Amino acid sequence: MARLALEGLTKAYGTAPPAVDGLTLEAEEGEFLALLGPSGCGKTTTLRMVAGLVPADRGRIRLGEEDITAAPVHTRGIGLVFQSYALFPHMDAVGNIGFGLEMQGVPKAERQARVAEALRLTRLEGLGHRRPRELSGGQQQRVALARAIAIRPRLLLLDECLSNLDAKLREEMRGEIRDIQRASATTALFVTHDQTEALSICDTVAVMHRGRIEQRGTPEEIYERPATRFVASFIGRMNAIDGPAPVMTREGPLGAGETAMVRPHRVRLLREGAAAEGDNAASGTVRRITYIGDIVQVQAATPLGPLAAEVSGASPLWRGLDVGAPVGLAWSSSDTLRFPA
Amino acid sequence: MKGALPFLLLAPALLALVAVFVVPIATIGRIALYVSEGSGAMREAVALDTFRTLFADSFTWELTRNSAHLALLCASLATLIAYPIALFLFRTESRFRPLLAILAVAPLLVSSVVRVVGWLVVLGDQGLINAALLSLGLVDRAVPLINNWTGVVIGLTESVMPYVILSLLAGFGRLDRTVEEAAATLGAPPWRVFLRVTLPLSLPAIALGWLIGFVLSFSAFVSPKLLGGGRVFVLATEIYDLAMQAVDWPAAAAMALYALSLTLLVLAAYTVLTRRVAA
Ligand SMILES: Nc1ncnc2c1ncn2[C@@H]1O[C@H](COP(=O)(O)OP(=O)(O)O)[C@@H](O)[C@H]1O
Ligand SMILES: [Mg+2]
Repeated sequence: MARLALEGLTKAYGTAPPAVDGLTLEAEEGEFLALLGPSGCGKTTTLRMVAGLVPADRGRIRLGEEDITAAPVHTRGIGLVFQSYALFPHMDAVGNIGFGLEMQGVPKAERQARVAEALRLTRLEGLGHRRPRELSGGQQQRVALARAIAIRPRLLLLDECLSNLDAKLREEMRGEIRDIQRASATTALFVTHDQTEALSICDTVAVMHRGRIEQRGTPEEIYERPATRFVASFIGRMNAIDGPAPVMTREGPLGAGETAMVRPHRVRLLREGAAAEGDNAASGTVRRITYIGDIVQVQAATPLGPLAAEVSGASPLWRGLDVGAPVGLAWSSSDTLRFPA
Repeated sequence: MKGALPFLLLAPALLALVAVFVVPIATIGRIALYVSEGSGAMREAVALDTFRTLFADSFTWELTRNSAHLALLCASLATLIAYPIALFLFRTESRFRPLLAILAVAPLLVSSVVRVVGWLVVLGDQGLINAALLSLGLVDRAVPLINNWTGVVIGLTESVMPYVILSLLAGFGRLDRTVEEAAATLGAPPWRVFLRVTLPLSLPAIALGWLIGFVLSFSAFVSPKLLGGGRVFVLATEIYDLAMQAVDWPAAAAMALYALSLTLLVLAAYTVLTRRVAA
């Protein structure tokens, strides 16, 4: 339960470009912060530096008032849930969860009470005497989580800990992790490459790219006002139009060497002959029609390049539309972002 | 035809096994039932006389104790020394790892007789160690490191160590770095990580390495014979003496079978124990 501040954290493996490159990031006390980025962008390396498992080449790590950059792993009091869970195969669930308390020298009676509490929080009652190999993936995941929170960590780190679970269980666990984190008011850093996961459960999202933080903000800020071209294209779906082109953006007309971006669900689909409204428009022919859940995406070839519009599956707009049919597309400049290419 | 194919493919291996293993043991078994005459001649028979003499002789029990003692000592010493080496080899990310692994098992590439001669040079009264001790004034007389039990233990431990290292490496399967890291994040300092995680998870490897070391030391002949200076008596050296010096083949055969069954007993005990622990 402390504020985490990373300042200019850098780590290079061998001669390759640094895996983490001058990363600066803060998590407020009790905040549930997602570290979101594509695979290989340095998320795990960052987490391992915070936990103390990998020494940082440069930069500082502060936890609360303390500078822990050089502190040995076992003195940090940071709970880490590994992607592979890393449970002790030779101990049962109780042994796993109680291990950290034993290391802290918590007396046996209190230890038993706290293990029971952790088992209850993670809904593992009755499974305490099973070894990891006698537990399902979801149960192992819970034991790993229980083990990390049982020590009442100052900071909880979760490394893609849901990615080995099936979709339904993953959604369930997301909510549970969120509840447990809230109840204990522990500062948590949740690493994921899954944007839905990050946007749906975290207070704040930090988008990471090539070892740096590109943007930190609430899920809404990240989605509606992406700060960089990378964030815009990584989060959600995006149309990109390379300038120069007759397109108005929030920041003005699109010039040479710039790219305009607009989300497909902000683009209106117009049947042939309908009057275009809004300050951006293009006409083209339908290339492909795709169902995405209860949304239908219509992709069209236009003079501005390929553009997609999304409409509700219930909408009459796309009915009877075939590949090759002429359509109009219109969107507002206030929904259009501009980035240097 | 389809059902016969696996047997056809296995046939060469089976034939080789029969030729080099089953036939000699059967022959030894047969000879053990012959009777040695007082004159030293061997009479064809099916009799248990030789075994009766063998088990009645208190020297047999002394040899058994010596062999077991030597094997216990060498297997334990070899495992103790090999464990950190194997652990290092298992974990190192050095690009010299293959080279280091070869170095660790290099003694296997050298004939055991050559290795023993090497030990003579190192351990003898005028050998490296004594020369160093004497010139440093740490001792007034050469320490007897050879032609006695000390020499045999040193030489045999060294000669079984490569096998122990290989068995340990093969047994380290369950050892996982991230599990040790998890223990560290939970507040365990390095020595507690070792005692609570590394050691328990490498117990199967240790048991396997120790067993290999024990079985090899128990049946070792070259080291006790050449480094023992005729003062170290174990089952293997006695079998050799009976067969080659006394030319009492039935007695040698009986003792060989006895030694072999002791080894099998140890292997059986290991199997039962590891099954029980795994269950
Ligand atoms: N132990 C290591 N040795 C060498 N390179 C590594 C090591 N761990 C990670 N890397 C490299 O560092 C980069 C970042 O990896 P990682 O932090 O695991 O990314 P992420 O968790 O975001 O997928 C990758 O290019 C990866 O190949
Ligand atoms: Mg990772």
